[in-house]
Amino acid sequence: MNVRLLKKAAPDGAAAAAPPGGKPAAPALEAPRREATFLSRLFRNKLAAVSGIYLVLLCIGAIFADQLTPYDPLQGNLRERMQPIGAPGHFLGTDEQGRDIWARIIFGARMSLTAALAPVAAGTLIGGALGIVSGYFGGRVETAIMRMLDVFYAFPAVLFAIALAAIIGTGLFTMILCMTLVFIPPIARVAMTAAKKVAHMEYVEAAKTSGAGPLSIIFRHVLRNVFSPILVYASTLLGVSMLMASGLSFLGLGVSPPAPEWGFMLNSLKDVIFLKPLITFVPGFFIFITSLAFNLLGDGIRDALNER
Amino acid sequence: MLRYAAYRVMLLVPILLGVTLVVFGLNQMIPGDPVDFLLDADATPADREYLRAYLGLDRPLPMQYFTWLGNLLEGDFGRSFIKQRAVLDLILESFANTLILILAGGTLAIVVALVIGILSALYPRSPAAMLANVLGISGVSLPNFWVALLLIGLFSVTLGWLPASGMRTTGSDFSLGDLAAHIILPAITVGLTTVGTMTRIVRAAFADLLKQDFVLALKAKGSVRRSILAHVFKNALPPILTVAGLEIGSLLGGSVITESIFSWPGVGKLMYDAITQRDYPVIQGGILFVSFLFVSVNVLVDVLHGCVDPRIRKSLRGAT
Repeated sequence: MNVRLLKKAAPDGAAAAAPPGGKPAAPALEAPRREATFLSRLFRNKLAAVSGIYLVLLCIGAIFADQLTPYDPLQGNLRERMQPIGAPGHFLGTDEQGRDIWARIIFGARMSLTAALAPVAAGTLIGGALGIVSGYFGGRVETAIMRMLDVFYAFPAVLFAIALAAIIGTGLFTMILCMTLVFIPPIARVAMTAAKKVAHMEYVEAAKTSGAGPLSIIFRHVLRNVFSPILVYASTLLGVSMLMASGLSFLGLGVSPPAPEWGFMLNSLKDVIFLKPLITFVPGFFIFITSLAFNLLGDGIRDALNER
Repeated sequence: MLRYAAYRVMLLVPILLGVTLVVFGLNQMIPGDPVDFLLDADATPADREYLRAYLGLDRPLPMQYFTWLGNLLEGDFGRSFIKQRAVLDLILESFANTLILILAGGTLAIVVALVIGILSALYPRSPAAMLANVLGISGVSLPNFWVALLLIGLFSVTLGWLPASGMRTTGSDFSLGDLAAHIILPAITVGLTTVGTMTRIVRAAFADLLKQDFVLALKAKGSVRRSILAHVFKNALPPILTVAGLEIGSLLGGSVITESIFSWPGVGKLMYDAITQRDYPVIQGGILFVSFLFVSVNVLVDVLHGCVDPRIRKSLRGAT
């Protein structure tokens, strides 16, 4: 692992090549050096860097939303309804109830980002665990887990999430739950493939013969070696997750009405589209660039970790 | 070839059984008592017991499952609470419209993806390659419901060129021109994600193949460009087919959102209406029908795959 990273880093420039040239492969330095290489490689990709910075700014904005706007995202002024972009006092305009769109965007980022990130995080934990266990043990355990998850591939993902949310009931939590269920099978499959490769490595055999139990082998040897393919795959799901979450909200299966959320903003703005044809621009644009940023960052992470 | 097809169809059975189990499980997750959906609030306990026994809800769950499965096999998907009609009839009536929409959107997406993908693989520094980059990444990042609303805002409201909803102009007779005008915006919306995914796949498949030795050999032999492309195309087909098969799922899933925005009278709209009205039998019937369809299409793709690529048939023969 380390050797491969060094080889890759060497021709890329003096900055990356200098430290490994001085001290060859000291085990104690392995972890910090690897991280530095990853981040510097990630940031060499301009698109990924810009995406990362945008997403960090968005998260900070969402946390300090009440500092960033004087308006209440829930309370509108009926006399200032449907103001265009650039209207005095409302630089992104107002919605059909006279609420400031910037205020709703920045407050809505809290829910939209949670709805996009939480299912991927939960799906990675659960799917990753299922996949590692079935890949490491193989045999009947693998067959049982994987055949069960195969069934979920039969459902088109979006439709499954929609039907599930429609049946269990609406709300942010059930929406996250439904999407987590959708993400578990593909993540488990990636984790299974990766863990299977590792399970046949000599160092795992060595650990087994020296008497280590399966749990300690999984945590000490398998986990760190399957981490990067799972991380890469999970990062490619973030953009999809953003779109799916806002799509479910748009259909009215996410948050309940007054709460600001980007997909749901489009749902309520669509009713006045025949009066103001472009009023849906701003919330959708934020869904688009955030999903785009997740996708570009995901591509960057994949290239930086050199995984496919 | 027939053996391969039979083998793939056989693998379908446990998956379909699994699908019915999941949908039956969903059925049990519906909050509240199913009897409440069917009876008025002033029904007596005796009425409730009678209906419960009549519907078989007093029997153990495995029994209920097998009865339900038997009914499915006979084509009985239950009855709509709201419309008071057989669910399968409702689905089959609207499915033709969904098929029209998906075929239009899918064809549009595949043609665009093939043209731009192949051009960008052949000329990596051309504007086509730039366009492929933009389409590949933005196609999978654009929320299709937003694009639909912008398209309506631009082409229907501002310019007034195209209708914003429905499948035909009310009161007029059916004509192809009218259908074409109604289908343009929904087809673009439903095919959007597919364009992005397919462009990436087509480009990657072609770029990869163009670097291979057999292309060099063909060039050295003096083959004309068209003949080289024909060879490359045949080799690029399997991965493209596989992804196209999977994209059917995204097209079907996307149809719920697209059809609800454009009031397109298909299965997606049927399901959306069922969701807003809590018409559970229709939601279940819809997801069963669509997943059966999706799984069957994927088996079909696998079999086609075997037709195009003899290696797949051989590998199976080795395995069995």
